[in-house]
Amino acid sequence: MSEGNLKWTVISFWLGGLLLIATSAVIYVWNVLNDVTAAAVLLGYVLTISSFFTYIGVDKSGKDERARKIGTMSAAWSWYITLSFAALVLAFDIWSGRQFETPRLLATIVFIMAVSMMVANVWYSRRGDVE
Amino acid sequence: MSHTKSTAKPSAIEKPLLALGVLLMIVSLCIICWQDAASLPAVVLLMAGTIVTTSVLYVYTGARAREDERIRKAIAFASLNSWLILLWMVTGLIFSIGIYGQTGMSTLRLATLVLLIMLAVFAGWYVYYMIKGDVE
Repeated sequence: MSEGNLKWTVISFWLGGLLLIATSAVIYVWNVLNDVTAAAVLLGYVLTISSFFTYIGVDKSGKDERARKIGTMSAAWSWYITLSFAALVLAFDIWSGRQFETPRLLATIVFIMAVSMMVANVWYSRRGDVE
Repeated sequence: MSHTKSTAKPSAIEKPLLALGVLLMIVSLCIICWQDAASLPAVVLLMAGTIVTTSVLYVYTGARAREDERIRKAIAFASLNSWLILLWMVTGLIFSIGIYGQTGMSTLRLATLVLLIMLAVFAGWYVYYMIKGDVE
Protein backbone atom coordinates (compact mmCIF):
# COMPACT_ATOMS: atom_id res chain seq x y z
CA MET A 1 0.00 0.00 0.00
CA SER A 2 1.38 3.43 -0.91
CA GLU A 3 2.16 6.10 1.71
CA GLY A 4 -0.63 8.33 0.40
CA ASN A 5 -3.27 5.58 0.58
CA LEU A 6 -2.18 4.59 4.08
CA LYS A 7 -2.42 8.22 5.19
CA TRP A 8 -6.00 8.45 3.86
CA THR A 9 -6.89 5.15 5.51
CA VAL A 10 -5.69 6.47 8.88
CA ILE A 11 -7.52 9.79 8.38
CA SER A 12 -10.73 8.00 7.39
CA PHE A 13 -10.49 5.69 10.42
CA TRP A 14 -10.01 8.54 12.91
CA LEU A 15 -12.60 10.77 11.24
CA GLY A 16 -15.17 7.95 11.29
CA GLY A 17 -14.41 7.11 14.92
CA LEU A 18 -14.65 10.74 16.04
CA LEU A 19 -17.91 11.20 14.11
CA LEU A 20 -19.36 8.12 15.84
CA ILE A 21 -18.27 9.41 19.26
CA ALA A 22 -19.58 12.95 18.66
CA THR A 23 -22.93 11.83 17.21
CA SER A 24 -23.58 9.23 19.90
CA ALA A 25 -22.79 11.88 22.56
CA VAL A 26 -25.30 14.26 20.91
CA ILE A 27 -27.98 11.51 20.78
CA TYR A 28 -27.38 10.66 24.44
CA VAL A 29 -27.24 14.21 25.85
CA TRP A 30 -30.18 15.68 23.90
CA ASN A 31 -32.03 12.39 23.38
CA VAL A 32 -32.47 13.32 19.75
CA LEU A 33 -32.52 10.62 17.09
CA ASN A 34 -33.69 12.07 13.81
CA ASP A 35 -32.68 11.68 10.16
CA VAL A 36 -29.65 14.02 10.59
CA THR A 37 -28.11 12.16 13.55
CA ALA A 38 -28.97 8.82 11.94
CA ALA A 39 -27.18 9.86 8.72
CA ALA A 40 -24.17 11.08 10.75
CA VAL A 41 -23.90 7.70 12.53
CA LEU A 42 -24.14 5.91 9.18
CA LEU A 43 -21.43 8.15 7.70
CA GLY A 44 -19.20 7.50 10.73
CA TYR A 45 -19.77 3.77 10.34
CA VAL A 46 -18.92 3.80 6.62
CA LEU A 47 -15.74 5.84 7.19
CA THR A 48 -14.56 3.62 10.05
CA ILE A 49 -15.35 0.28 8.44
CA SER A 50 -14.01 1.14 4.98
CA SER A 51 -10.58 1.85 6.47
CA PHE A 52 -10.82 -0.84 9.13
CA PHE A 53 -10.98 -3.63 6.54
CA THR A 54 -7.56 -2.54 5.33
CA TYR A 55 -6.24 -2.70 8.91
CA ILE A 56 -7.46 -6.21 9.59
CA GLY A 57 -6.39 -7.60 6.22
CA VAL A 58 -9.73 -8.24 4.50
CA ASP A 59 -8.57 -5.72 1.90
CA LYS A 60 -5.40 -7.40 0.67
CA SER A 61 -3.76 -4.07 -0.22
CA GLY A 62 -2.93 -3.62 3.46
CA LYS A 63 0.18 -5.68 4.06
CA ASP A 64 1.31 -4.05 7.28
CA GLU A 65 1.34 -6.98 9.74
CA ARG A 66 1.65 -4.76 12.81
CA ALA A 67 -1.32 -2.60 11.75
CA ARG A 68 -3.37 -5.78 11.25
CA LYS A 69 -2.44 -7.01 14.73
CA ILE A 70 -3.27 -3.63 16.26
CA GLY A 71 -6.66 -3.61 14.49
CA THR A 72 -7.50 -7.16 15.58
CA MET A 73 -6.43 -6.76 19.21
CA SER A 74 -8.09 -3.35 19.54
CA ALA A 75 -11.39 -4.74 18.24
CA ALA A 76 -11.05 -7.75 20.58
CA TRP A 77 -10.54 -5.45 23.59
CA SER A 78 -13.34 -3.16 22.45
CA TRP A 79 -15.69 -6.15 22.12
CA TYR A 80 -14.71 -7.35 25.58
CA ILE A 81 -15.24 -3.91 27.17
CA THR A 82 -18.59 -3.46 25.36
CA LEU A 83 -19.76 -6.90 26.51
CA SER A 84 -18.85 -6.21 30.15
CA PHE A 85 -20.37 -2.73 30.04
CA ALA A 86 -23.61 -3.79 28.33
CA ALA A 87 -24.12 -6.70 30.74
CA LEU A 88 -23.52 -4.45 33.77
CA VAL A 89 -25.80 -1.70 32.46
CA LEU A 90 -28.51 -4.27 31.82
CA ALA A 91 -28.19 -5.72 35.33
CA PHE A 92 -28.13 -2.30 37.04
CA ASP A 93 -31.06 -1.13 34.94
CA ILE A 94 -33.08 -4.15 35.98
CA TRP A 95 -32.27 -3.77 39.68
CA SER A 96 -32.65 0.00 39.85
CA GLY A 97 -35.91 -0.10 37.90
CA ARG A 98 -34.75 2.77 35.71
CA GLN A 99 -34.35 1.92 32.04
CA PHE A 100 -32.54 3.70 29.25
CA GLU A 101 -34.65 5.03 26.42
CA THR A 102 -33.93 3.16 23.18
CA PRO A 103 -31.97 5.96 21.39
CA ARG A 104 -29.84 6.54 24.50
CA LEU A 105 -29.11 2.84 24.90
CA LEU A 106 -27.98 2.50 21.28
CA ALA A 107 -25.94 5.73 21.47
CA THR A 108 -24.20 4.46 24.64
CA ILE A 109 -23.25 1.20 22.93
CA VAL A 110 -21.83 3.03 19.88
CA PHE A 111 -19.98 5.46 22.17
CA ILE A 112 -18.37 2.69 24.23
CA MET A 113 -17.43 0.72 21.10
CA ALA A 114 -15.83 3.70 19.35
CA VAL A 115 -14.01 5.08 22.41
CA SER A 116 -12.63 1.71 23.56
CA MET A 117 -11.56 0.87 20.00
CA MET A 118 -9.67 4.14 19.56
CA VAL A 119 -8.08 4.09 23.01
CA ALA A 120 -6.88 0.51 22.44
CA ASN A 121 -5.55 1.54 19.02
CA VAL A 122 -3.51 4.41 20.47
CA TRP A 123 -2.31 2.22 23.35
CA TYR A 124 -1.13 -0.60 21.08
CA SER A 125 0.44 1.84 18.59
CA ARG A 126 2.51 3.49 21.34
CA ARG A 127 3.37 0.27 23.10
CA GLY A 128 5.48 -1.06 20.25
CA ASP A 129 4.99 -4.81 20.36
CA VAL A 130 1.54 -6.29 19.82
CA GLU A 131 0.88 -9.80 21.12
CA MET B 1 14.20 -5.35 37.77
CA SER B 2 13.35 -7.54 34.85
CA HIS B 3 9.76 -7.58 33.65
CA THR B 4 8.63 -11.06 32.71
CA LYS B 5 5.27 -12.24 31.45
CA SER B 6 3.43 -15.26 32.72
CA THR B 7 3.42 -17.91 30.02
CA ALA B 8 1.57 -20.56 31.93
CA LYS B 9 -0.36 -23.11 29.94
CA PRO B 10 -4.11 -22.70 30.03
CA SER B 11 -5.54 -24.82 32.78
CA ALA B 12 -7.92 -27.61 31.79
CA ILE B 13 -10.80 -25.79 33.43
CA GLU B 14 -10.57 -22.57 31.41
CA LYS B 15 -12.03 -23.88 28.13
CA PRO B 16 -15.11 -25.54 29.67
CA LEU B 17 -15.55 -22.47 31.91
CA LEU B 18 -15.68 -20.19 28.86
CA ALA B 19 -18.28 -22.43 27.22
CA LEU B 20 -20.28 -22.55 30.46
CA GLY B 21 -20.15 -18.77 30.90
CA VAL B 22 -21.31 -18.05 27.34
CA LEU B 23 -24.03 -20.70 27.64
CA LEU B 24 -25.28 -19.23 30.93
CA MET B 25 -25.43 -15.76 29.41
CA ILE B 26 -27.21 -16.94 26.25
CA VAL B 27 -29.81 -18.95 28.22
CA SER B 28 -30.51 -16.11 30.69
CA LEU B 29 -30.75 -13.53 27.88
CA CYS B 30 -33.14 -15.81 25.96
CA ILE B 31 -35.36 -16.05 29.07
CA ILE B 32 -35.33 -12.25 29.62
CA CYS B 33 -35.96 -11.59 25.92
CA TRP B 34 -38.75 -14.18 25.73
CA GLN B 35 -40.56 -12.96 28.86
CA ASP B 36 -39.74 -9.27 28.17
CA ALA B 37 -39.22 -9.02 31.92
CA ALA B 38 -36.31 -9.64 34.24
CA SER B 39 -37.02 -12.36 36.76
CA LEU B 40 -34.57 -12.79 39.64
CA PRO B 41 -33.29 -16.26 38.57
CA ALA B 42 -32.61 -15.01 35.03
CA VAL B 43 -30.70 -11.95 36.31
CA VAL B 44 -28.66 -14.08 38.72
CA LEU B 45 -27.82 -16.48 35.85
CA LEU B 46 -26.85 -13.51 33.66
CA MET B 47 -24.54 -12.07 36.31
CA ALA B 48 -22.93 -15.46 36.97
CA GLY B 49 -22.41 -15.98 33.23
CA THR B 50 -20.97 -12.48 32.82
CA ILE B 51 -18.50 -12.92 35.67
CA VAL B 52 -17.31 -16.32 34.39
CA THR B 53 -17.08 -15.23 30.71
CA THR B 54 -15.32 -11.93 31.32
CA SER B 55 -12.88 -13.50 33.79
CA VAL B 56 -11.81 -16.20 31.32
CA LEU B 57 -11.68 -13.76 28.39
CA TYR B 58 -9.60 -11.34 30.47
CA VAL B 59 -6.93 -14.01 30.66
CA TYR B 60 -7.04 -14.78 26.94
CA THR B 61 -7.22 -11.24 25.54
CA GLY B 62 -3.66 -10.77 26.64
CA ALA B 63 -3.85 -9.67 30.23
CA ARG B 64 -1.85 -12.78 31.00
CA ALA B 65 0.03 -14.24 28.07
CA ARG B 66 -0.71 -17.88 27.39
CA GLU B 67 1.25 -20.49 25.55
CA ASP B 68 -1.81 -21.64 23.64
CA GLU B 69 -1.50 -19.17 20.78
CA ARG B 70 -4.27 -20.83 18.76
CA ILE B 71 -6.97 -20.23 21.39
CA ARG B 72 -5.84 -16.63 21.84
CA LYS B 73 -6.05 -16.07 18.09
CA ALA B 74 -9.42 -17.81 17.81
CA ILE B 75 -10.81 -15.60 20.60
CA ALA B 76 -9.29 -12.44 19.12
CA PHE B 77 -10.70 -13.12 15.64
CA ALA B 78 -14.09 -14.26 16.95
CA SER B 79 -14.31 -11.04 19.01
CA LEU B 80 -13.27 -8.99 15.99
CA ASN B 81 -16.02 -10.52 13.82
CA SER B 82 -18.58 -10.08 16.57
CA TRP B 83 -17.47 -6.44 17.06
CA LEU B 84 -17.92 -5.72 13.33
CA ILE B 85 -21.38 -7.31 13.24
CA LEU B 86 -22.42 -5.51 16.44
CA LEU B 87 -21.36 -2.13 15.04
CA TRP B 88 -23.22 -2.86 11.80
CA MET B 89 -26.34 -3.95 13.71
CA VAL B 90 -26.40 -0.98 16.12
CA THR B 91 -25.76 1.49 13.27
CA GLY B 92 -28.57 -0.15 11.29
CA LEU B 93 -30.92 0.12 14.28
CA ILE B 94 -30.04 3.79 14.85
CA PHE B 95 -30.53 4.53 11.15
CA SER B 96 -33.87 2.74 10.93
CA ILE B 97 -35.17 4.36 14.15
CA GLY B 98 -33.94 7.79 12.97
CA ILE B 99 -35.66 7.44 9.61
CA TYR B 100 -38.74 5.32 10.36
CA GLY B 101 -39.37 6.05 14.05
CA GLN B 102 -39.44 3.80 17.11
CA THR B 103 -39.18 0.04 16.97
CA GLY B 104 -41.97 -2.06 18.42
CA MET B 105 -39.53 -3.56 20.92
CA SER B 106 -39.09 -2.52 24.54
CA THR B 107 -35.66 -1.23 25.59
CA LEU B 108 -35.13 -4.30 27.79
CA ARG B 109 -35.83 -6.65 24.89
CA LEU B 110 -33.58 -4.61 22.59
CA ALA B 111 -30.70 -4.63 25.09
CA THR B 112 -30.94 -8.37 25.63
CA LEU B 113 -31.15 -8.93 21.88
CA VAL B 114 -27.96 -6.88 21.31
CA LEU B 115 -26.09 -8.90 23.96
CA LEU B 116 -27.53 -12.14 22.64
CA ILE B 117 -26.39 -11.49 19.08
CA MET B 118 -22.97 -10.37 20.33
CA LEU B 119 -22.48 -13.64 22.20
CA ALA B 120 -24.04 -15.91 19.58
CA VAL B 121 -21.82 -14.48 16.83
CA PHE B 122 -18.75 -14.77 19.07
CA ALA B 123 -19.57 -18.38 20.01
CA GLY B 124 -20.28 -19.29 16.37
CA TRP B 125 -16.98 -17.90 15.09
CA TYR B 126 -15.02 -19.37 18.02
CA VAL B 127 -16.38 -22.87 17.31
CA TYR B 128 -15.73 -22.36 13.57
CA TYR B 129 -12.08 -21.39 14.17
CA MET B 130 -11.52 -24.24 16.60
CA ILE B 131 -12.90 -26.74 14.08
CA LYS B 132 -11.08 -25.13 11.15
CA GLY B 133 -7.70 -25.50 12.77
CA ASP B 134 -5.65 -22.55 11.56
CA VAL B 135 -6.71 -19.03 12.47
CA GLU B 136 -5.86 -16.16 10.12
